Amino acid sequence: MYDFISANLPYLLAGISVGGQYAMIAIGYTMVYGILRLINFAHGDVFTAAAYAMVYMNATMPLYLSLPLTILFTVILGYSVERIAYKPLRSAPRMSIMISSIGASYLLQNLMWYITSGLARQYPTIPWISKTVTIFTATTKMVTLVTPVLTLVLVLLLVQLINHTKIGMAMRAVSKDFETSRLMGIKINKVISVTFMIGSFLAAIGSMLYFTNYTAVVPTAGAMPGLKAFVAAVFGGIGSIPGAVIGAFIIGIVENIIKAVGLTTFSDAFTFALLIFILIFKPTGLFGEVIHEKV
Amino acid sequence: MKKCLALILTVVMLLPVMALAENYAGEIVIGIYEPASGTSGAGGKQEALGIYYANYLAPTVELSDGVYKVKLVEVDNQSSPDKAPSAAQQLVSEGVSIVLGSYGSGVCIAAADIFDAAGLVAIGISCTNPQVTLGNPLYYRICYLDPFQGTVLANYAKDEFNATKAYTLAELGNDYDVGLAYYFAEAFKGLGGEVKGEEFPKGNSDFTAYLTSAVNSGAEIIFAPTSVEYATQIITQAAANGITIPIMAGDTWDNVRILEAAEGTDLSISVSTFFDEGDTGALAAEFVTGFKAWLNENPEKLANNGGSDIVAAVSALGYDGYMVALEALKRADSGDRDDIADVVAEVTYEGVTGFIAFDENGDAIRDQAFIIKTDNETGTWQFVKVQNVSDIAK
Amino acid sequence: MKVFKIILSLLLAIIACLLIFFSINALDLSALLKEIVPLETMQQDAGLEKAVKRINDCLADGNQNRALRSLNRLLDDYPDKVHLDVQTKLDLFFYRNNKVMLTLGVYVLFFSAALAVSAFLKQQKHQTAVLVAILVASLYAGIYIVEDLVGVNSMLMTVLKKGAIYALLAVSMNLLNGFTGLFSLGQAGFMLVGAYTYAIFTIENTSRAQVYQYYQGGLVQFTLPTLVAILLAGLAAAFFAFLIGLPVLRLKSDYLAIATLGFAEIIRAVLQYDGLGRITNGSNLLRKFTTFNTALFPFAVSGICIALIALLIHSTYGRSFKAIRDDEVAAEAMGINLFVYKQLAFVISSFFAGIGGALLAMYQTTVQAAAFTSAMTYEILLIVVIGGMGSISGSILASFLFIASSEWWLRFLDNVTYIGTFKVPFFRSGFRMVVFSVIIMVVVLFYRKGIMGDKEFSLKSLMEPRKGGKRRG
Repeated sequence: MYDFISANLPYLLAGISVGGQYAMIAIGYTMVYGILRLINFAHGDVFTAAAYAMVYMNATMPLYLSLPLTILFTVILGYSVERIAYKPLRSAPRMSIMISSIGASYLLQNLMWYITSGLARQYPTIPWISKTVTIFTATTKMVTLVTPVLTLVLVLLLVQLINHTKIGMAMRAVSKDFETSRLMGIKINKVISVTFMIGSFLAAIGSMLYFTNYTAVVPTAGAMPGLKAFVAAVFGGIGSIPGAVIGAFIIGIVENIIKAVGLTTFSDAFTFALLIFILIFKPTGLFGEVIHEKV
Repeated sequence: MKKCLALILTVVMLLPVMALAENYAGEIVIGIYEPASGTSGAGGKQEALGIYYANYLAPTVELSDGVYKVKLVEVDNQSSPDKAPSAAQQLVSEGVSIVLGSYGSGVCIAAADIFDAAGLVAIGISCTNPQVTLGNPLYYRICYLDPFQGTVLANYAKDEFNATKAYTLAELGNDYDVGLAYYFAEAFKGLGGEVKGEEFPKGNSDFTAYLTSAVNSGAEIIFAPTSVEYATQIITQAAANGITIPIMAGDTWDNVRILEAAEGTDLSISVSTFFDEGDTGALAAEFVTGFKAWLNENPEKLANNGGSDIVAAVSALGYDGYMVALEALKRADSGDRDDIADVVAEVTYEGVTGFIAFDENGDAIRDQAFIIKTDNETGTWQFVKVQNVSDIAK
Repeated sequence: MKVFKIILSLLLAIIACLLIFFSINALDLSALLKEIVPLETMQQDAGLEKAVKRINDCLADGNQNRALRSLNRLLDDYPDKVHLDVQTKLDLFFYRNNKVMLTLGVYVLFFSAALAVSAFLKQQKHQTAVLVAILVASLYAGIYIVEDLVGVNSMLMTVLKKGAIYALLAVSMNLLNGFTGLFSLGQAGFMLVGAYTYAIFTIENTSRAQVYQYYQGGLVQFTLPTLVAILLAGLAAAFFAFLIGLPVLRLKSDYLAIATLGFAEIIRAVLQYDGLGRITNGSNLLRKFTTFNTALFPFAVSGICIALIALLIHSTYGRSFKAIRDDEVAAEAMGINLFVYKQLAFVISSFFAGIGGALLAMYQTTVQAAAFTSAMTYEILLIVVIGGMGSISGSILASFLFIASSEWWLRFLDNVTYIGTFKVPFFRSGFRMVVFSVIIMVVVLFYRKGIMGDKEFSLKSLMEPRKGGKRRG
């Protein structure tokens, strides 16, 4: 029994850790989708850009400056992506805006590749969370413990924001009914911008946690986590923040269990299999609302 | 409109060509086929540095009808077998007489048919997978092969660490990784050991699962012949997870980034390579001092070498590769591809990495590998031993 | 008019026959060599004798290209020792440009025949058909001739080959996304299935042990003819599409996109799986399968496939697809069985994607599952968008533009360039893709309809004067 735990504890810990990091990204996806019905493919690349920003800023500035500046940079980046790639197409058919999102993701990736020549950069060590700790018999970094706690705290704050502030109410209204909210006088542009900024803020925090664990930063580093985070969002019910978080943790843990069992080649594919399963049997996800289509 | 612009720009770019140096009988172009970006970008840049240094020392070649200037043209194959064909295509269209490269066997294999169709000889520098030359009559190489390297490392694992169980880790779809892991496993099993092998998908950054798997399988050494980018991850994660199992790898780990990642940790990392910086032989020592001086003159070159002036084995090989190409040119007495193709097989050269001659497959007849170990306190390589074929044949 | 056409066609026929006659006659180089370099001159000069011997050796080996190269060098090196009169010069010209002259001859013959036929035709429809036939023949003859002149490995031919393959892929994706309105991102998966099926069944038997070196030679030990293998590739992709379509086609657009993307990733993971290694070679390269040498092959295959798709679009099936795209509910109300037609579109599109994948494998000469990522699907999607969703000619045009720009015209952006001693800023490896992505974003944001919108290319629209508004072509 003890052997079983000590053999599998590292996997579980890795799963919780990466699940929390996926959750940070997933929230961004689910919020944007809830309001704009848009899959923001560029979100994963904003996540990677945050990591690069940290790498470059830390090389020239002390930590207490580079940390907040990175967050600021990411928020501005998220806001810019929305302004440049999505706002002009607000009245266009769904496919156009999705293609624009793919194009934006493509542009960001190529830009990052160009700036860094595709060579991996080492993520700087953030003092406290990179410390090594031992839990029972498994050695891991402090970040593994910090992540779920931080995730829960941030999610609670976010839920409070959504439920008890004016802007939160506006966000809920817009995600319920876009046109009517606009007619009711809600400043749509402001709401959308705030949504993107919150999503990018969380992505920045997520990237700090993620890359402390997996220190090599490459331009395509955010593509897979981004996609998996999106699956988590769909799994938990698109538009529902708690659902996205729970979905992310489930995906993170099961992914590592699959690796533990030895089918490592399928760990990525599993996430998609889960997605398809959910889409076929419960398209609205675990916590989503059922939408009735009227003819 | 676009076509016009492109045409004008092409013409503008051709202008410098007309300003050829006055007293040369002509110009011969040698192509450098290396990755400058992607997972093998770091190694490719170092290999190219060796070639550029050789060109700096020997910028001309004397043929029977005069002295020709040797020009280098570099393309980036981006470490990816699907980008490789178009990069190879570019070299062919540039009219090069001979190709040097590449670092990374996968891209060599992918480009082999294109060089073959153009009648272009390619000299592989550090690509160790047998498939590069097998079935490709115009591809030669000057480094040793993976079956040899795998056997050397398997023997070392047994002798030095008394290992009976090994765990191998390779990148899915990477010919070099998978090949070397395979040959190591075969040799290790031949010595009576057990091997558990796993492969990780491209782009993977989480190695905790694999390292835990290694620990759980009771392995006594971990053999991970991956490219530098994954190697640094494996090392940092192994250190973070408190792994104490000795780690071994092939020539790709001979890189300053490995030293940086391992510095300050307790990990034991042993690596096989082509060249040792501390080699006291005359040729090697002269190369090392000259190369370091050349690197230190130029901060951009230092950056390409990984930020320090520690000589990478692939740079020494790149240097030898260029010299071998010059020998081929001299022997063919022309810059014509077909003439060169006729004579390459007979070329021999005493290089800084040893004596180079080709066998009927186009492989170099090599019987020596160097084993080096990281010194985690000083962040440098520590020479362990030279392993010869004859020692293993027993 | 009629008489003029007949006289012209007879004249052209005579010229064509002459060209063909001379081309066929000038095929024997060794005999020609004996005329150019008389025996006595050869015996006087050792170098000359060696050069002649080398040419004959190449011919004996069957290496025409090398023989030609050596011949050119001989003529350059010994201009005063060779014997060239009008007859030999003509023969030499026809030998060097053998293929071009022969093709030109056949083409002119065809043209003259078409001209003669059209002289006797009364209906406009038939005239147009003849015109189309001439255009198609011109295209193929033109490509063959250009290829021979420029060299099969030159940049232009590379771009044309790849452009043709991507044209097929773009049109197949357009069939699904643009004509039927099903936003699917699974193209790369079907291309992969097609590529692997083709590669596995055409690897030379003697090389199998080498390619499958870690899997004891592999399971499949026979080789199929190329065209059969290509068909099989398409069928395999179609089969997978059928299976995948069953659960997935019920989903709404966004979810359909992600589900098909997911399936593409699953297919990629499965084909890399070690356990299936005996068939797929696990994650290693597949190589040494039959490839093509001339640009004509991809053009021919793509041409036939695109023609088939165009025929499909203009049939009742095509109209049903468009109905589904425009308004699903109304279409269903009109009696169109949504699921059956969606499956049909999905399966047919994937069939051609599979064939496209096989062609891509032939073009690359090696194929590896890891390369068929979603990024490949995005590229094809971008081509479709740039060309205009719902326009076949738009996709073809955009495909060539896209490939030419990214592989050729913009390559100079990747090279560090100096004007005098001034180093041009930004020009470095990777800049090309950045500029390219920016251009794509501009097109996506400001020219949403793409180059052709949803109209097709037609000669009529070119010839009609623009009257302040665009006429429907």
